[in-house]
Amino acid sequence: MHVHFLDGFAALLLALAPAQNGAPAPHPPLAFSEHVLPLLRRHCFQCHGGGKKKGGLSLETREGLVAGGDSGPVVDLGRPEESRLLALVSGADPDLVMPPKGDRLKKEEVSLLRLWIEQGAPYDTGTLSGSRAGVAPVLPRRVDVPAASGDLTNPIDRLLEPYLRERGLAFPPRADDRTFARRVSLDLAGVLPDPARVDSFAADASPGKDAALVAEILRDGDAYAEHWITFWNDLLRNDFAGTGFIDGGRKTITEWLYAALRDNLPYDRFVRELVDPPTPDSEGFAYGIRWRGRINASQVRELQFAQNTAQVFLGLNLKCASCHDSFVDSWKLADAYGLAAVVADAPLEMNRCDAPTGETAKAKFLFPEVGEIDASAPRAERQRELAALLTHERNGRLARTIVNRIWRQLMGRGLVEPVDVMDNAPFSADVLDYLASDLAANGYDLKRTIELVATSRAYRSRSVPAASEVATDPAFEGPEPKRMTAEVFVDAVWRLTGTAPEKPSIEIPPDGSGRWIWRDASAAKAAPAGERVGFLKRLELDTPPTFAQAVLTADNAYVLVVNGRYVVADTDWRTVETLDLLPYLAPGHNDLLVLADNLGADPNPAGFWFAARIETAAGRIGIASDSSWECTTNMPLTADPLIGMDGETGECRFFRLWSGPEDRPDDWRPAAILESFGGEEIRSRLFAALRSVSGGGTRPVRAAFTAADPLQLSLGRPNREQVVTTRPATLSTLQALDLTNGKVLAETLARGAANVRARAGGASPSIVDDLFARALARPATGAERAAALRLLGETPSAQSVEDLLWSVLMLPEFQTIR
Amino acid sequence: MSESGDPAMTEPTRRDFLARMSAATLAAMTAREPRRLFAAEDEAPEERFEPTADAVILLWMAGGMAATETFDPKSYAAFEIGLEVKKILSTFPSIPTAIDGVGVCEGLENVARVLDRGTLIRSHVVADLGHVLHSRHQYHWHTGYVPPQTVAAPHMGAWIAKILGPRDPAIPAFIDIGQRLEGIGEKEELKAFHTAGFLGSEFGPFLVPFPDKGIEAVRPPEGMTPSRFQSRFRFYRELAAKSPLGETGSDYQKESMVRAMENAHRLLSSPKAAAFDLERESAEVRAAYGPGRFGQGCLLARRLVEAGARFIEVTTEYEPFKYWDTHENGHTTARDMKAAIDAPVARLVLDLEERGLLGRTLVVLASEFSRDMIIEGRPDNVAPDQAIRPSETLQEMRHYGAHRHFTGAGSVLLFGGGMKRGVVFGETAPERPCVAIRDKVSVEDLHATIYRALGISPATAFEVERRPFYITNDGKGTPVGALFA
Repeated sequence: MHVHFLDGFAALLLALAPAQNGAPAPHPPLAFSEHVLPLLRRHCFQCHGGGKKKGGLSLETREGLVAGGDSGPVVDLGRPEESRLLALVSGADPDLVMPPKGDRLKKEEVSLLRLWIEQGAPYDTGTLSGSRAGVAPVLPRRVDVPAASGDLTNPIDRLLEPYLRERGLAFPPRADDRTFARRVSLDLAGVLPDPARVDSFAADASPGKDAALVAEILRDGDAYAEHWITFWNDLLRNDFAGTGFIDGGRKTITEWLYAALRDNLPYDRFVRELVDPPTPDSEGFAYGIRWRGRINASQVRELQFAQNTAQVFLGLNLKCASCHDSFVDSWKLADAYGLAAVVADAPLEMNRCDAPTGETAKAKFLFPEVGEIDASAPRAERQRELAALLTHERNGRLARTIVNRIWRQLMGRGLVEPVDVMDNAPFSADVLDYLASDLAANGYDLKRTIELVATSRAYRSRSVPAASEVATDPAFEGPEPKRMTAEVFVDAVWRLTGTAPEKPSIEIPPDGSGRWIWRDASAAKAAPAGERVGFLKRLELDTPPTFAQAVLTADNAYVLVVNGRYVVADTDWRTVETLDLLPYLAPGHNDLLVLADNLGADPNPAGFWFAARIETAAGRIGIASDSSWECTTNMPLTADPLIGMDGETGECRFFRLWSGPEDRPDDWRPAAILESFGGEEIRSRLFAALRSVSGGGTRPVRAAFTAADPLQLSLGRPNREQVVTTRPATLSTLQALDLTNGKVLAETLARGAANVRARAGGASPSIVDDLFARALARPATGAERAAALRLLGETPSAQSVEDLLWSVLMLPEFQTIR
Repeated sequence: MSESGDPAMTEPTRRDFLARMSAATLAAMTAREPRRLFAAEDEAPEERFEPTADAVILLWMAGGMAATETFDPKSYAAFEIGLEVKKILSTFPSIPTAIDGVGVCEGLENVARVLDRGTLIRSHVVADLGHVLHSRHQYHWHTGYVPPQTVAAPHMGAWIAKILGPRDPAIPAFIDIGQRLEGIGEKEELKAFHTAGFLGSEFGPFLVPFPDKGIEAVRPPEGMTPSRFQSRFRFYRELAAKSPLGETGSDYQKESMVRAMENAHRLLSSPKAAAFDLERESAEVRAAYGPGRFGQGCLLARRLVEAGARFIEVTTEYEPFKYWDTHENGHTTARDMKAAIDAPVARLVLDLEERGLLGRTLVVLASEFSRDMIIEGRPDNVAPDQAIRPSETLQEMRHYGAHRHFTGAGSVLLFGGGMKRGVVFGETAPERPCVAIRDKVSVEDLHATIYRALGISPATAFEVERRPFYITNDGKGTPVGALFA
């Protein structure tokens, strides 16, 4: 019994049949991977593939095929009929038939091979899904930008204008102001715009208002980080819960990533810190996922590193080559292992298709034209070299890959598609290369690139929805509408209905947060009972401070002394002290000295946490506990501060610790940062206290920082076991079901309807106005308004508001960024 | 639910819905989504295979069902303090079945009586993934691929949904009954394979964690009357039609969204949704399936197959250290688990038979691995997360029973769907280790058998990230011809 499928194969055979007039019809080019590769793999590769060259013949590459084997050529591209390969597989010579064992080729398969050889035996993947993977340049390229003309001042537009003109196209009309305001807010910050801001933008007649709006949105580092962290979590497989976190098989980089985005860490440094982590904070990406139990050789962490580094930063796929020499591009097993070996602690044996080869991988970089890695250097050095090569000025691929990703986020479709096949040709090499060079030339400032794209006339255009799902031509006609991600949709619902949860699942330290520190990192688990550590931080102030507030606590007890003066003491690590340092600070040197005690009879965790915000005429200074604090366990005390502690009041009566530099201990060393210390509750309290000191209110919780609920999962939030670089563009029936009767959304809307009604004062017209302005950034049309008012009636019930709300949320206009 | 007089709310014709479904499917096939590669290039048209099954019910024994305590009885030793552990192979005596000379363990009397309707495979050998983490083995069994994978592998149900589509337009093609994905241990690992993976969420599982609440999944949100539900949708439709967006011309993204909403609404408004409602069964029938979630899940599966479901999984549910995950109290847990599955499995087979559905419905009972009697740990390779206890002699009842993960042989039941009747396939060693000694059936070959029964080639592949991804590992699964009637 056998199964047979008529679809692909039969259709192909039909096409192979002579045309009706008797003359052979010219056949469209065969797709190598689809039509030829499976055949080769089934019948030939057992001996002539996967590195094997029986009889000296390898069929893995076109070079191998053309070169032939020990007994001569096997194909004759000039006279395909004469090709020896065809004679061998068709059984013309009964004594020498290929394959010698196993199933022989069927007549149709021989025809297929003949046709393929007639077509020149292409190994390229030219017809595969319309992708044209070739080999794109690696080195950067300078692009001359045509002169500005009229309102086309942005270099992107100046490069696109001739592109469009050559194709008889023009920029689509400008999007209307409200559409643009909604688009830019959702694209850059992932939130619906504030209706008042949309109104003021629409009313603004000044020529620079677009750029001003873009700059205003990008200026808010937190909003930017809160949105773009989703994009980066997908790329870097970063999460804070899920597979691997059960037993330390995986490390989150959420805090590092958030700070990197908030502070707009230059992209070259960003990449270096991920590939060659200077601290444990960013090591999660390179660490990968340590799976329990036996895994396929191609999934060891070193190869995960190679695959992810290549895909994320260079837009190239080493997944195939992690198992065997790739069939779809030129990457070899040794290339994937070469990159993997960079991070290998021990010699890494190469495996082919999960079987050991006996060969040891040699560390190397994928692009020798950029530079080499010294394979004999120790791991740390190799990793440093890799980081340097990835971010080397000659590696134009790094910048091209990220600017293409940014372009796709904003424009809906990449300059190169798919975004992970950067060897495909861009629709405009000029725009791609210009943006890449511009990024590299300007300190790898990603926000600059985003701003450049977002302020282009191209981006300002009315969006051009794709007419069909299959993009056959990557040509640019205008920005495409994008579907909201699960996180953006949920954030929008929360914002619209005032239903965001009070607490996130992972709390991000506010800007200027301290770290838990102690003398030794092992204190996170246990420090000696009764250990006393002195911490010292020196602060230089040029001008008198105008504001100085600190937040601190210690497990278990501490005394803070500033410039020799007692400030505060506390013995309860669960309380957080906020205090005014202004009276204690002065221009010049300031010494912050802390004496911290680990109480208890047995070894137990110990830590100290400090953050202060100080302002002077010259600006703002942040001081926070980190490894720049020095510590000692050898404090020359004339008395014991805990003895001096007043049992009644908890105040320390003794605070003079030293009289001058000559008394100071000489064994100061940098304090150690404690990983995972203190628990959620104390963190929360410290962060809240610091936020209030910094004058920043609590920010609404965003979906990206909550555990994925069934709604977010349904809408496509990935579990981040694999790198994800694009989210699905269309709504599936199962997703629609979850939106229609799923508990999560239904409960949210039931709660939110009351808020919506109350916010609008309860009157039907104002509810409609409020909802449309917030959700769609535009007033309802007459027809929409009439319909909505009919639904709500004179006195809107909570249910009718809920139904209106649901209906608006389900509109394609709402769920897309247009 | 469908009392509305709106003609659009009545059940669509099959052709109409299929047309819409395929349109939705097409819409899901953006340039970035997987494309099917032609398959089975090695098979000639004259050898074309006719499907023997239209639907599959997978009864999942989650947590590792010990074959020697269930369908592959070995020498029995009653509990006794001081008993040498190595002398115990089964902790239940063997009972006769409807197949002459074939026994199963005590506690499976009902299944024993219907065993002549199916095939019992005793030589199912699963991959050795290091004897740890159930969820990895379950991932492997359900997707055919050992995790981790560089692309998200689809669940068997998703493959089937993608290739065959729904059997009845009003019943989702892939329904998963009994597994919670929230609020339990290893939930992220479970989610990782309860997915359509790269095939896209259109083909993912329709989740019914609590069978007696199945109807909630297909009716309006709690507290919403059917008439309000219908009027809400009518209003949505009106609003969507009035949207200024309609003026921008062809827009597949917008159209696919509206279509998906229409599909969902139609599903929720169809009279067929009643198939999800166990309340429609008599108290007598419900009792016959037992009070447990698994039993009620089997009843729901029967109703859904009658209504036209394509692939249904009913699980005893995986939760670390519970149900078939018999780390401790192996004997008593196995006894309880058998009590939970025995009547419903037998009832399901008989019900399908009575309704003339067994012929075209393939019922598969399987587990991620088997277990062995040795107390925890592995002699040659001690798993770090499993307790090691002295394994010389029995001291306590809680150590009596199968504990250790064992991949050398497991039992699988196949009923209907073109499989042989009254046959035992494969054999295990009579002494420890009770490995398969004849006719081994791997996960990929078992999958290939199931797929072939449905008329799907085990070499079916889709292109993802420019490479072929096969329905069985590298397309290598081979159907076990001897299992087919």
